[in-house]
Amino acid sequence: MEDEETIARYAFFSDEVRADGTPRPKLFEPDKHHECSVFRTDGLTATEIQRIGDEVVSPNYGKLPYGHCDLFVGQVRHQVHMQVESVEPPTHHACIRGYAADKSAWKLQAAQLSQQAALFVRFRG
Amino acid sequence: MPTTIRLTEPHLPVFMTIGADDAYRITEDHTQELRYTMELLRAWQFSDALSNITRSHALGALMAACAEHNQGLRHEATLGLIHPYAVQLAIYFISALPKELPDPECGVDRDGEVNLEWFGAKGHLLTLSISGTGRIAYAYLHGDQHERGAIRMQEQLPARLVELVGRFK
Repeated sequence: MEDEETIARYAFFSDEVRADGTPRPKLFEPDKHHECSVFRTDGLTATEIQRIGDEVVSPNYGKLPYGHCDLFVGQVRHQVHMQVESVEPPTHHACIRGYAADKSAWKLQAAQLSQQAALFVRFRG
Repeated sequence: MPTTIRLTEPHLPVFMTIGADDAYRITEDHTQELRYTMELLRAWQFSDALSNITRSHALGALMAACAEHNQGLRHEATLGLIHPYAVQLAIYFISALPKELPDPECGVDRDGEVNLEWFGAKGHLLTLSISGTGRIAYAYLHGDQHERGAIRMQEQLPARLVELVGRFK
């Protein structure tokens, strides 16, 4: 994956994004596998990005995503010093890896990722 | 004559009191394993009611986040259960903040710990997670400056965290 590539993190909980659209650290918390699931979105239309969230990701949550926050692969690698790797299937899927084991350490990483990410793109209310 | 109302049995590992100044106090005996009981929760809820709680917006947001997290538990196996004691400690933390300090934004971590966050300008933020055992993991960012660590809930709010929250006034 190139540094210039865009990745999107879907938001399923209202406490993942602030009222002004800036992402909160929770959006980039690691899962139980100690990684954060994202999707590669370059070349996709807004409708296609929403369709991935609705059809591919939402079954894991039992509800539709509110929207997504984007960031560049290079921001993850060079600003937060973590890795992004393509992990397919499903198509376009990737993972942010390199979270620390200690909670306060990965909270710092998640906070740094949230600061790098762009404003929230909302699909629905 | 100042008095202190003890709301839980002193033999429990954690008990709360409300002093003459209506301030919360929490006492924990680190030599005992923490055991959560419904009686304890009821006592905390009772003490909340007595304490003339402010910051109702933050507490409402906390309850809403807990409800949303619990709904998600039905579908997402990777979410952790919220420990009721983590919620009670978060309520205590919010309620015991000095009046001049701002409200936190509240939420629930994927692992079920309660998170409280403060945001300032230009990426200035403090995020802390309260566990059911009273351990608070926190991270603070302000420009190039960052700090992280873990602190146990004490008889009073941890001074370092109060100091960090104070930077968001």
